[in-house]
Amino acid sequence: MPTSPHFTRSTSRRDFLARAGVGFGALALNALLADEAQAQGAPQKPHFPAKAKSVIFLFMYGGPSQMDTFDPKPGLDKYHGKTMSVALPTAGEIKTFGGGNNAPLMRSTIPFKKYGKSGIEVSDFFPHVGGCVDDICFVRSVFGNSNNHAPALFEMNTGTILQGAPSLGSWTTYGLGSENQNLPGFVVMLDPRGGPIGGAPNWASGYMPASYQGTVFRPSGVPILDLKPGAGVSDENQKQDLAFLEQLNRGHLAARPGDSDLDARIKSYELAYRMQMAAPEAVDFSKETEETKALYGMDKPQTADFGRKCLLARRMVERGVRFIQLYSGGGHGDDTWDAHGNIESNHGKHAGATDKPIAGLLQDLKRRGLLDSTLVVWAGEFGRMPISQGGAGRDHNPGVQTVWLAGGGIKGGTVVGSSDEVGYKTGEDPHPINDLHATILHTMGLEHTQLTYLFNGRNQRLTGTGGTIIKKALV
Amino acid sequence: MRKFMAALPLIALFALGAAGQKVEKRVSFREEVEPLLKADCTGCHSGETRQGGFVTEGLALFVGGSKFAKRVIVPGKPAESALIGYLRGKHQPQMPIGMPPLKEAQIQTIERWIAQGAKVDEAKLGWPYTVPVNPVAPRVKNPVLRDEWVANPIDNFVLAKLEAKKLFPSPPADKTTLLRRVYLDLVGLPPTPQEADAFLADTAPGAYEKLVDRLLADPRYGERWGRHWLDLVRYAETHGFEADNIRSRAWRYRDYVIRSFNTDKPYDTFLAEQLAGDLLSPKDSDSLIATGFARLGSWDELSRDPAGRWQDYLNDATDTVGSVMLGMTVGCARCHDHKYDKITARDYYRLQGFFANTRWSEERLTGEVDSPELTKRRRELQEQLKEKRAQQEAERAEKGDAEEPKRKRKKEGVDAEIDALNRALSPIDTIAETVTDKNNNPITHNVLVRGSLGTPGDTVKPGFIASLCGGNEVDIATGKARLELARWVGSPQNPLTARVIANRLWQHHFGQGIVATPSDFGRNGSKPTHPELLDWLATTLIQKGWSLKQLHKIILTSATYKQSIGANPVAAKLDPSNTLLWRQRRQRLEGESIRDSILAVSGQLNLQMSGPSIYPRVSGEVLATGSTHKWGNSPEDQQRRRTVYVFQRRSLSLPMTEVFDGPDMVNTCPKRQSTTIAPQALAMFNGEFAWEQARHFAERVAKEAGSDPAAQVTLAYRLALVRKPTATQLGQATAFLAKKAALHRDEKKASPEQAALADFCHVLFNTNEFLYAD
Repeated sequence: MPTSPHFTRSTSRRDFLARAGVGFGALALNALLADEAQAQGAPQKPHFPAKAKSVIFLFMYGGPSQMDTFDPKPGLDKYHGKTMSVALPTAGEIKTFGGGNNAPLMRSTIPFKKYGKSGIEVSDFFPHVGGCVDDICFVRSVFGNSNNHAPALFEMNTGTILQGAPSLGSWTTYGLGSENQNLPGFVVMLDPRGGPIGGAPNWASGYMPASYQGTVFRPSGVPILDLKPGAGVSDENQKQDLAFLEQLNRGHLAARPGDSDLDARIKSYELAYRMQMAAPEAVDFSKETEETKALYGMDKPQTADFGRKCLLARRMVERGVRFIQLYSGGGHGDDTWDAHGNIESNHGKHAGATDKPIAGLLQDLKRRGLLDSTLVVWAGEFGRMPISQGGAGRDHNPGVQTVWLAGGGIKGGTVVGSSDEVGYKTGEDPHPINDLHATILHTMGLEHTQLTYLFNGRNQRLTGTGGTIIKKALV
Repeated sequence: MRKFMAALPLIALFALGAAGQKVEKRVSFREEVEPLLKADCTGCHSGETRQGGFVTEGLALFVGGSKFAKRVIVPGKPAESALIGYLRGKHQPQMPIGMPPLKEAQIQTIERWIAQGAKVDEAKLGWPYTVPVNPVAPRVKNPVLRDEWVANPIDNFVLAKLEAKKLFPSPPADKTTLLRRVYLDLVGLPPTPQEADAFLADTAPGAYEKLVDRLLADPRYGERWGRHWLDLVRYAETHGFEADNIRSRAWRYRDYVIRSFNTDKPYDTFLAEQLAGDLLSPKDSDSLIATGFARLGSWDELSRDPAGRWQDYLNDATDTVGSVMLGMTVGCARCHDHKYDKITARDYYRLQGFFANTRWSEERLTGEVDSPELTKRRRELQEQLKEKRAQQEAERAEKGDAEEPKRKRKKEGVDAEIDALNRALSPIDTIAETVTDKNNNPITHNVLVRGSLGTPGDTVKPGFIASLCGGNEVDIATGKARLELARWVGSPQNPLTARVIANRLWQHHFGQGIVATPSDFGRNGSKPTHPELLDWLATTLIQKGWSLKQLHKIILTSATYKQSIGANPVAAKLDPSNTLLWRQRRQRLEGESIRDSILAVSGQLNLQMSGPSIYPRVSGEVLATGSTHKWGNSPEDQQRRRTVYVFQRRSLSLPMTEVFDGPDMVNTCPKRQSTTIAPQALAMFNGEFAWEQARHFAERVAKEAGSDPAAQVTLAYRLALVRKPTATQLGQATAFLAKKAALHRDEKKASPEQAALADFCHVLFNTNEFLYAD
């Protein structure tokens, strides 16, 4: 390296680098770097062969009453009108959400009937679902940790009562990606009366990248936010704009070869464009027969909305969407399953709107051969109290609830666990919500202890430090 | 072999042999054995859950034996030590139970340690537990680079590492690229064409330094860098959970942060105010507002379990102090000793003890604390309130009813008016949400075994993390404990505080920290790529009186920062992720910068600072996703303010910032993700905001450039991309304008040329060149 005491400052900003020994070959702009970044969301292998490829999670927001739906309690008939201290002397002081801790026990006014070969009892709120019991496993011993809607919703959706953890759907798409790159891998359909308490954190990806969060999908019209440009932008207009954008972006990338981020963003516009086609195609029911629509109850005003969502859920399963969550109940009060005032009228309304569509979904999945590869989950954020609230209603009860599972990997016609004599707490085989999550992941081929995401110095898990697979529910 | 080793006298194992002889290395209990026990054994054999009576904490306890084996460890005799028997499966059940056995090499390590006498060495506190000392910048070899490239010691550190790998830095970025980069980096907005012209015309030496000084003095700096801090402290203006009710005075904390960055408040003072502003003397308005730091976490208003909620709150506050200020994941020690870092559960609850004695309070602020406009608005409301109260009194006197009227279901007349005035006044009243001590003494606090309130353990006093105090437990026995905490956190003797903040600054300037896990300097975090450089930055920060602006300037004027993002196949092969900084990193703009830049370019940005938050329009379909539809509707001119002033609701984010990886406002966010997902393209290409601003942008261009398409394209490029188009690009753009105008004409649009220009402007907002900074 020649040095001179009187070196002159180079005029070209690259010149001195040349003198410093940097070969210009090293600065050549035609180098192509390996494309390291794998597109997020591409399908990935499960930990072991999966039974279920997709999940349809039917969320009964507000907290349906177990003893009036899927968990008959003769004990309640026996002790009707008596206090808990008589029926369950060991129960101790009862803590309700709304007060009235010493209210009397209240029997269910809804008759139960036996269904199917298994003879499992289901209340008259759900006659159609009753017809499917031989495909369903009822877990009557699930319990949670909060008697308050928001934390309980968070726990059912994210595994913890605190806000901010990734949801079950996020974990699933994080673990498995999505089979269909033209649709979101995790879709949420809300009740027309509003979202659940807590809002978007119920389907958020928490500390994971935004690519794993749920996308709110409307069952009609424009299904996804900003899917269509505003009024006055014709398809031809949009095509020309996109072509011009691509021209500019390709020119920009040519001068920055090998930048996979820039390339991915160009592709994201192509994907968005394909999504514009794919999403409306998914909600276009013109090729569905009237018989199918009727099966889902779409021909009756009472069941039309939830029926539409259930049918859309099946169509998404067919299109490879990984996780679909449907909400029954939205907003507050009796617009949800939150039957503080009157079980009969509240549950009558919500069960009436969902029974036929849910049964239709199970039957339709089955006859199309999709039920074996689709897990259907039915749950609320908690159960309800055996004691009365105001004479006809029931208060929140995280102590026990019934959750049912059907389809991929699930042993139909079974009952797992029990509640105590009156349905206040769990009896046999108690299962925290972590167990339910571990089981759902298991059917998807994911081992819950191995599905981790490093955040705040810990390998975080959906199941926290807990989680035991509910083996009795599995085939 | 094992037997043989165990039988040998210790001295034989350590024969300090001459050259060529194999010398067995001494196994360190702290470094090699303890981590194994902690990872696989402490889950069951510790604290309250001493399965089999066997405890792995503290050697004395476990040498002492258990109920199954008298001699768990026999110093010098691994074969007779039950520990080894259990690990090897000689004793049943094989340990760790229900988990894969330890690897052979791991068991041998423990055996060697026992064979060597099972001695516990003094805890060696390596990086990052020791106080940084100012390292000497290394000499660089290449004389040309030394003389012409190196601008300050940062470059020595970086270049020395590059030279060791026979790599070279990239050429400096051209002036225009550097200009746009430093604007977006420091103020989060692109330069105007006038600002660009002025800089490009200034060929005097020091022009760039002058620019950096100007940007650091610009109030937009605080808005951008304050936002980075707000991410860390999970700033929000609602409680979260069910009701997600509004904290109507939370904005004062946001303004405090922006103000602190703008006035270059020394970082140690900034932390002290947030930890203990109420105990500082003199305490001014800012130090009171700052204590709101401890109230920023989410809070379940409807909880029926107040004790559990308070504990959740304390956990959240403790974890945040640990990760934000100290870069340590202290939260891992909530249920058990940290498995990887030197933080015990005892440390955790001692640290938590500083907050256990606090309560939430509200304090009246004194002096001029608000902008003249806000002060004026407040006085008006106060005047009106006074008048209405007088009216109310008069009305009551007239009715001859001296007593308070019975509460009506719905207030009417003057009563309702007073309520409305109070509601309007409350958020802008000179009151801050603060924390203060319950009493003068630090209360003792319990260790919670497995983190559960149901199983209280030892009683502890507030104290600092022992490993960060040279291994000593320093307890605070006197009053004003948080003040002691503030002093310790902000002390030059604290091994972490300066390193952590220097690294955060570096991360934002380079897209990645020297420690890539900015809130985890522990063993599970990333190792520093340039540890000496980080220590140099940390000690320099302390020398400069904790002035962040001075540290910014040093970083920004380094040759390392000014590098281009050139391609270099040799370097790319040797260091594909650019950890050695052979070039700058391209960064995608954050959601805030994207929205703010769009508003600036369209000419719509309202630069009004401070005050209660604003509500840009959000579509009904987004509002319908929550159970509470609480979103305001700000006047149109207010909606065009910078994004840092947008209301922060925990259950509903502004879609534009959310889709571009905005923080969730519940978890601390030390680094924004940079995802590339289709919904971003949908928001930018179809969303109402981008279209609306594109139309404003087009109007501005038509007004300022006239009707000549080439002039329009040139101005649009200069505004959006801070450069003129190339001849090819100019040709492409004017062809696009003509084609689109024809299409609009076919579609019978009112003003086809203007519509085409808006299309062009809209495309510019969507380009990668606009969304990334080179």
